[in-house]
Amino acid sequence: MYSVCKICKGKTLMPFKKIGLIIAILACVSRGETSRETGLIVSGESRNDLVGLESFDKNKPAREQSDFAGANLLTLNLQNANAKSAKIEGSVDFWLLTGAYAEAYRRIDSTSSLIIPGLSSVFIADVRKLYASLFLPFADVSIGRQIISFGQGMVFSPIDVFSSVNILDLTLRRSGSDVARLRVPFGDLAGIDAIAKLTAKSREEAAAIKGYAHVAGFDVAGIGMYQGAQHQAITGITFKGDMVAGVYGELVEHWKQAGQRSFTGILGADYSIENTWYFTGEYLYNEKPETNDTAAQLSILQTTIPLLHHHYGFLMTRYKINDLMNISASAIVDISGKSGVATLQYFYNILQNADVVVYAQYYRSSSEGMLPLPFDQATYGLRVEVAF
Amino acid sequence: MNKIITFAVFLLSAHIAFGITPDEILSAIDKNRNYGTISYDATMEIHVGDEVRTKTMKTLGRGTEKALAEFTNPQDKGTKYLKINKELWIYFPSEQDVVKISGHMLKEGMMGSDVSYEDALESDALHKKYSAVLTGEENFEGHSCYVLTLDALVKDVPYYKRKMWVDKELFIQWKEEMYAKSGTLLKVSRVLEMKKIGVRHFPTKIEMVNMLRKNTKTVFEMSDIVFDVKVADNVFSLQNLQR
Repeated sequence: MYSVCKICKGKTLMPFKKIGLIIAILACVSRGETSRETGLIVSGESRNDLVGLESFDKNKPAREQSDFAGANLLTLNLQNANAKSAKIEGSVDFWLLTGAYAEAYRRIDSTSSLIIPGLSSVFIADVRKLYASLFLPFADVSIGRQIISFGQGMVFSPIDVFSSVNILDLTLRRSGSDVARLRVPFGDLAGIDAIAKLTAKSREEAAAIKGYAHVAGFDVAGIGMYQGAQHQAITGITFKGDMVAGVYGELVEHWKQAGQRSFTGILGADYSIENTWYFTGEYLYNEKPETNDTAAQLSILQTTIPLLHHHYGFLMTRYKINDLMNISASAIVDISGKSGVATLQYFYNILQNADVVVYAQYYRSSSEGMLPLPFDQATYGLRVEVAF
Repeated sequence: MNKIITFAVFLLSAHIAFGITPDEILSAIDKNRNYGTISYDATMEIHVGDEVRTKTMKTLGRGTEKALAEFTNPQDKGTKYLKINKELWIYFPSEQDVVKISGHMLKEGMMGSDVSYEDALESDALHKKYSAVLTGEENFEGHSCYVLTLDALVKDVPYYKRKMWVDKELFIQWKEEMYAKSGTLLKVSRVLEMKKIGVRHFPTKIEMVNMLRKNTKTVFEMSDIVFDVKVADNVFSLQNLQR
């Protein structure tokens, strides 16, 4: 069975004993949400998916083209109660993958995750955020793993090289990045945001600086960046504002060694009708496609795709049935590579703090497309989410 | 010409009869809404048919121009709204991301409620944006009220027409109907509870019904209200929104 959960690298994986210790510590120090100004506030979400997988491999008999999988995610968020002058924030994902997802994960990495015997399950801990911030009179200083969102794009964001979007996730979650960050305000709506990536390997060093302001109703920013691993500097601008519809964009120039330059840009728009229909669209143009030797990372935990072609698109429409229910359809497409993923989902806030999501995803394969699967694949899922 | 004279006579007689002009009533409402800073906790009950969802938040405000609200209920915990004049930004803690709300979204219900972003963003004094006509006096749920009809003087208002039942002594709008340009009734708000805080009478529990939707209403209740709290200058900023 070839499932989408194929490769998962670069994650922080912890031995089981350490995870148990963390949970015990959290249980001891947590005081829940009280008015007290001490201790930790713990919150989180449980997200449980039951998924049917269907691959369209004509070389296999029909009974081998279907499989089941489970993805159970417990997210624990913690923050100090008194965060007026300093803050610590953490967010840890505990994954329990079962069925086809576990098999696919095990094929790739069977040493660093915990495999529960006899249950065909894989247990993974992923630290998305764990950082400390000091709120000094003139600047905020943060060190640790954080999610760095510099750009405006919902799916495509060429400027967001530190925390990329997982395009296979229904909620388009981002990964964390280990950085030191300095934020200096210049008024209410302007400032500078500077980042240096924390890495042991000097060739993977990266740094970025962003200046932002609010001008004539638009949020605008200018960004300069250096990526050691790619031996490139990046300059770019981002904007978001209103022109009947909401419009946003990122225009990015890559400056490589030996004077090579290339442009990547996105333009996006969102619009709504009668507070019932919502539309979002993004188009990405990539002047210089990356080479085929840049591997895609396909995983339900984190999927990143190399830009192998010139044209990419994203479309989403959502119909609000009422304040508790909606239906949405979206497609992320590698236009040149004729590959992509289409998602249809029905969302129901069924109880206070509890949601049910019924969804279907279809992956269009292509040997050179953004999803290099050997054949098309569909998933049909039921998700239950409970926040606490 | 006759119509103009008739209208002028009507306005004059209304003034004489009621002893107060519509503009004076609007100014009194605006004065009542005018405060330096405010902090409060709030509960928002969203009723959809028989189902109820409750959201809680902590809010800081400076006048009606600036506000920072942080949701505290489990599903939206840490989500923050920053309002500065007529613009709105939302911070999503899960992704550490700040999103500017597009203009077309401002009529959307805030967090799924019947209170739109536009309702929350309204910051201008009523007497600057609307012309008012005093159309009568009524007793509304035991409160002696002026009935005021407002017509928009400018385009950038959330509602083109409003009808208000204004307490004759406290200048609180016990009830308000909000209309579209076409005359369609869009929303009805009702003050369910009012408290005296210091020298000020302040509505603390308000019900908002969106007439375009079936079987929905939102009840917004404020508690622990404190006026003129000390608020640092940088609280209402994008920097602080991301903290």
